[in-house]
Amino acid sequence: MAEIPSVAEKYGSKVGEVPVGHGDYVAGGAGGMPFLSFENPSKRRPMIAGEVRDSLVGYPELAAGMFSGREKDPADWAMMWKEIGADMIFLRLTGTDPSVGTTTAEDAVRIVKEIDERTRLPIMVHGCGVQEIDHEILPRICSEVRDTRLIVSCVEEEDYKRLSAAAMAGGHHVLAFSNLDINLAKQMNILLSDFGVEKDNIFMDPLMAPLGMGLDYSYSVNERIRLSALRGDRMLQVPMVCHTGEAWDVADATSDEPGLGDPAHRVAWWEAITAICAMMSGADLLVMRGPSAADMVRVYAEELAGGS
Amino acid sequence: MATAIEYFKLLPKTNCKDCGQPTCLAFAMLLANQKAKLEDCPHVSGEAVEAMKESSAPPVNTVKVGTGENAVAMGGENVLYRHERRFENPIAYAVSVSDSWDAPRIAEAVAKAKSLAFDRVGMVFRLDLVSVSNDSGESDEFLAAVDAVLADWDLPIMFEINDVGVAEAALSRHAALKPLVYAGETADVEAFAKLATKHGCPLGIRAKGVEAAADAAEIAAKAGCKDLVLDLGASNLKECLEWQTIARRAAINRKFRPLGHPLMNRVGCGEYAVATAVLSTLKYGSLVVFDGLEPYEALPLFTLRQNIYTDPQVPIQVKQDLYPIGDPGPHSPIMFTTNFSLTYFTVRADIEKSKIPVWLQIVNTEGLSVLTAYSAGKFEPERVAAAFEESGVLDKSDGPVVVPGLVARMSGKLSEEIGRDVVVGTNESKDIPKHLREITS
Amino acid sequence: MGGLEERYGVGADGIAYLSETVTAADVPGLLAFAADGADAAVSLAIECLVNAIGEFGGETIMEYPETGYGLPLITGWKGIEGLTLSGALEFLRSLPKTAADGLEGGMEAGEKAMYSCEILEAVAYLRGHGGGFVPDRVIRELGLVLVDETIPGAAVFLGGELGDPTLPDTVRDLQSKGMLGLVAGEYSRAMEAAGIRMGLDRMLYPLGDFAGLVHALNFAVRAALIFGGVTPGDKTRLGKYLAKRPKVVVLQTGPISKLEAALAFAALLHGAAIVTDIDLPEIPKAIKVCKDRSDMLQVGIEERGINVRLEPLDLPVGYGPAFEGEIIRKPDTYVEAGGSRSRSFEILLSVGEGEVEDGKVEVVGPEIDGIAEGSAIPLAMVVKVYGAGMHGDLEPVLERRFHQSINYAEGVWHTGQRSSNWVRVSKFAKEKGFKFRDLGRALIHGIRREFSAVATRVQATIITDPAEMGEIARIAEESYAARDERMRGLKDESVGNFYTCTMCQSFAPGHICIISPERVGLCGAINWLDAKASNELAPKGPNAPVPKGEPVDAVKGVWDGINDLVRAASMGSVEKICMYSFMDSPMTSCGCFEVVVGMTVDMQGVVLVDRDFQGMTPLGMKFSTLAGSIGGGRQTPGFMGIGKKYIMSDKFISAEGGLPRVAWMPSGLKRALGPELAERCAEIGYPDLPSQIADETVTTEAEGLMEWMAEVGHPALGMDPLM
Ligand code: SF4
Ligand code: SF4
Repeated sequence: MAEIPSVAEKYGSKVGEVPVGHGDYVAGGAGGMPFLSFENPSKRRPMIAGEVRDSLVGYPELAAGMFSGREKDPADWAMMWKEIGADMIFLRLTGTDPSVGTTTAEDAVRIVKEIDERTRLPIMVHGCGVQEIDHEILPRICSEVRDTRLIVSCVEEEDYKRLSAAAMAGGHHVLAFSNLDINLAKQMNILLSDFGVEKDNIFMDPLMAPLGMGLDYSYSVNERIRLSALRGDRMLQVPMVCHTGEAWDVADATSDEPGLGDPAHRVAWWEAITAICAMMSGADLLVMRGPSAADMVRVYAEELAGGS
Repeated sequence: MATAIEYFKLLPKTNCKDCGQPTCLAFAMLLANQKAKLEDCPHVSGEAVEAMKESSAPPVNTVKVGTGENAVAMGGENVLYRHERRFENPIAYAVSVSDSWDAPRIAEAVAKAKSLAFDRVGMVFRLDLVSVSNDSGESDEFLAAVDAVLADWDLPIMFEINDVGVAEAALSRHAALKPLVYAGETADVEAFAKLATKHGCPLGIRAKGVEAAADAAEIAAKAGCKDLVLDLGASNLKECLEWQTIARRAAINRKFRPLGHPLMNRVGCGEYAVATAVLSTLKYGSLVVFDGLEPYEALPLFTLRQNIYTDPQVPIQVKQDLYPIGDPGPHSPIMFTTNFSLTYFTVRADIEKSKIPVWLQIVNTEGLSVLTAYSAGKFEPERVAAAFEESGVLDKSDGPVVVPGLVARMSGKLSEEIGRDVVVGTNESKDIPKHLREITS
Repeated sequence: MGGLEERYGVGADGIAYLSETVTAADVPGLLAFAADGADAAVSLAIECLVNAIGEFGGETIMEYPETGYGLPLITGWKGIEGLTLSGALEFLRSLPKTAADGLEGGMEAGEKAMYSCEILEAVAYLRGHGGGFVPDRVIRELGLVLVDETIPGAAVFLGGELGDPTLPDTVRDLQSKGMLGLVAGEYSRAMEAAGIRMGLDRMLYPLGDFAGLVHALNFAVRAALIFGGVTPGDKTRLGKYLAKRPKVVVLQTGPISKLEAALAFAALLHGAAIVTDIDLPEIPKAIKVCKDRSDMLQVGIEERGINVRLEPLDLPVGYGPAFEGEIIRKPDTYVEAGGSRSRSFEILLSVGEGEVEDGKVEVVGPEIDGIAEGSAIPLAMVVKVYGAGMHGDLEPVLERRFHQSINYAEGVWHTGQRSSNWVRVSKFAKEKGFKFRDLGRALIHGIRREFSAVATRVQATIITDPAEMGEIARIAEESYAARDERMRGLKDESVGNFYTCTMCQSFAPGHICIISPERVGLCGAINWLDAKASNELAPKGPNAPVPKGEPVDAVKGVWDGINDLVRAASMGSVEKICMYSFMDSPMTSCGCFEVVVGMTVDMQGVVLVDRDFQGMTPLGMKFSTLAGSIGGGRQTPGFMGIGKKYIMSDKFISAEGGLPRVAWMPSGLKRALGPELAERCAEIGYPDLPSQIADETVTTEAEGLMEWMAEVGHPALGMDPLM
């Protein structure tokens, strides 16, 4: 038979490995491009985090309908995610914004603790997006939730010190957000390192644009980030997080237009394809919204990784 | 790849314009960008063509299936990652029909295949091929099935035939359509190759694993077959990803010709088949043949193909137009932004989040984003005013005109141009819902 | 002193010895003084421990109340936890005697002194006389805002005297800047006497005197342990973290005691800067003398690089980007200046420390109320800045901010620059109470907002009296001329570094601009000085210096340093670039170039096309086609994107013969280059060249251009073919 020239790349560097939660889950560690066993010895598939919210305001009804009523209680919702096979819970505290809900800081802390106690899964906590509120509530969570290592989502170039400091104080990780640009992603990690956040406490979110709404940009930015990391750019050697729930915002994914087929199936594929693109371009952690998409992606990722 | 100057050296430099370009230099530039072929210049010497072909042939063959403007091109790839330049020829999707079906069933399948076409912002996403599978093993039934397909299908077709005799019969009749003949896993590679070559049609073969595929490709090449599509015979996702990656890297990085062919997958239908297609779309596939495809699978899959195969160096543009979001009325806010697709998507999504109906005017800035367009002088108040004029939006609504925060500077001039007050919006798209609520309450 | 004896359970001698003071010292003197203090502090702590063991037993654990860090300094720096009284004794006895040489020795002394003081204070708590320790709970709150710089920094007051008249103002200043004050020594009494209330709610916290200063240090250390994730005992990382934050400055006044001298070195170890009003030796970034007590805080802020948060500018009219685009028409104008209606100019000058009073605004001449509606008045806007990192090259960069600073004000409009500016204040703004003074305030605000890192003191003067303008106008003119001269005088050969620009990588991944003094970035917006300035202002930004390295080819402009960088930045896809050639390994092009240079089809000359010209060119390609073919971060020999200004450079495609190669350019570009083109041609000995360069009115065809070149005897025809 023909002899095929060797094509394995010898990159020389790898992405850091970061333990989360109670230490039994680890993200990152890739030493080659995703799932290529001939160059990437890591058999770890990307982690999958299921999205849970404290308020259903603004949450798609179609998605809510997929959780059999258990979406009404965050801890129960999280349990359902665990049953589906999620590795992590992504808690979005939209209800802490008083124009949306009534979640207080105490409530938020309680919700996180409950999720932790019931699921024992690692948790990523995301604020409501109103800076003053996030600055108050997330640090509270950081300091009062101490027996599980959270990922605090998310810090940006314009606003990273408060949340990073709070995360550090609580022994948690931070998620560094940047807007679709390898240089900005790197810049964020430099800023955080300068600020004293250790590289093994950083995750990065380079903004995953969903299928049909700029996915092409994200796919290439992610690939470039991962290749640079493998080729030795230390400031990019942190696990990459991609949100795929935005797929639900794409009109084509959920519209009732005749001829496009069943929306529930369609949006599942929409999100699953977004997630597959994310993991094929280097994502180490996928934050997902739909249960069927999450299930598909987990199964495929396990198969691709060759053992779980 | 050869540069424009290297091509230019080979050209006669007479600027005779026979190639349709005003100068040899312009033609050389097209060559360098692979938008023309050296043969398109009638005056270039034979040696030059040969000399250039060797050095400039893309590491992956280009194979064409079908004829005319509907022909599907596969392969011709130069890079492993789209950001390095771009992926050239979009992956094709086919749906298979069986020659053991009766004519109405075939007609129904073809009708369904045709319905997998979606009109999207100036583009049609559609299924590329119908494949006819010789399950009967008989020539007559096969030919009848082909006729049944052709009755209602005018895009390219392919044949799945494992028997040289049947293939001979099919090609004798339909070679003019330049169908792809997919022989599957066969001991008769040489015979198939000779046959396909004789009829000038592309050939697809399947061999399990990269080594076997390379061997088969060599046999086909020796038999004179140039237009070859390889099926590496992957039986699961992992093999599909790894083998296709190995084959493509060997071709591009190591100039390993036996694997320098477009790659294809023959899948079934359902979830796993679609997942394989997704993976193949991302990683080096040129053709996926399904047993069936549902619209809810086809639309996301076709969208993916469109995304992956856009040229990363050419910003995707949205048409300059007025886009009503929600159901805007005579007092709804008027917003505007550039026609850079990403800007449009983001702004649109954020407006939708607000649940407030808005008239969104897209201004042609040649695909530049807000700040870049502004500094390049392509997003000036005059241009915006002209776009308003063209769409007549100002007559449709007396609502507030919102200037993107990043170009607040244009507000005075714009207000003067359109003779109406304007309000300055947010710098960040994500703050749009909040701002909209403020100005509409 | 009786209180201290009781507090620590020690005799009077040690305390008295440590309290001996000096008011001046040279370097060796200070070091010896501190070393002596350190050894005495160790002895005192040993005495204290021996007594305490007698009283409480050696197994008693030492720890401060409400902390998880026991004795935070010893935990943090040494990694020792759960120290007992006897353990502490052993620990102190194991410390070597201080060698009084060099800064190292000083640091060692500081370390010993702080451990001793920490033990003394801990025993005080044991004895029920403790105070001044800040509990963890407070640090988790206060520390958070300190490290995230919501509280920009802390000032430790050390020394002090009763009745210091500058004290109330200093405290007010401190509080208005949102900084935390930690008060040690005589200062607590001085503050009490001055009626200044202390307490955490007032951000003014008494540490207690004598050894109490350690509570400031253990505060900082715990902040690092808590927020920096530093492992106890990891000295290197602790030091590194403390060097950055929290930002602490020690304000030391009056005679300094032995103990204080030793602890001052400990403060340096914790990244603090010390400002003193006595004659101590100055050590850069460590000890600074400032004799004027009312100025000490400001000096300290600058020394430690504390970024004081900017209060929002409070003007009688609205202020913000929303008003930037506002247009003020003639009939709405109350008063205007410049725009060839009156004399007007603006200038920013970098001056010495003593020549600027931070925040001062002066209006020289009539205010707006004294001016009749509809007037055009003479106007000079002068901003003077000082900052340790400020220098002449940054002046134009800061000056460019004027435009935005002024336009942000509602009803005020600005355009142009230098002495060709134009300002209008609307009737609306006047009615709302806008004054020329506010113009000055806006200017100061703009500089502070953007450039606080380099300009630590800013002052503005608005002159409306023509009689007062002469001198400053002359200075301004000189400065403008000097700046132009400086840019002209800069040559690629005369600098060691070029600069990168990676701004365009977001859409052209492989692209990197190399900006040299004689070659602007290809978008035309960034020249070498700009890149240099931007690098100083944002060292991690898109403009980084690249050492040229060894010259490889002087004619083509090849240096190995540049090649190494380009190779790395492009991940190997670009091997080398020739800065002065467009035929051989030209610089990559991103997409925002102003002009494309392309070889003519006869290979003798070049065609220049600017982005404004949309017609056909003799290359057979329009700008849009060219741009599409050569952009995206690739090298395309024979074609290259450039900035307009590069055309006038000595180094413009000098490897291929430079400007005389130019055979064609659009008439619009010719116009844009202006008289400079003719001057430049004359300068290089081709006075006829401008008329020999064809444009679209002559021909847009390849043949036409060849004929024209032959007809006019274009100099490029006499050169070697390009290939
Ligand atoms: S046909 Fe050939 S010789 Fe004629 S212009 Fe085109 S490239 Fe030049
Ligand atoms: S073109 Fe301008 S902005 Fe872009 S990289 Fe070059 S200098 Fe920077």
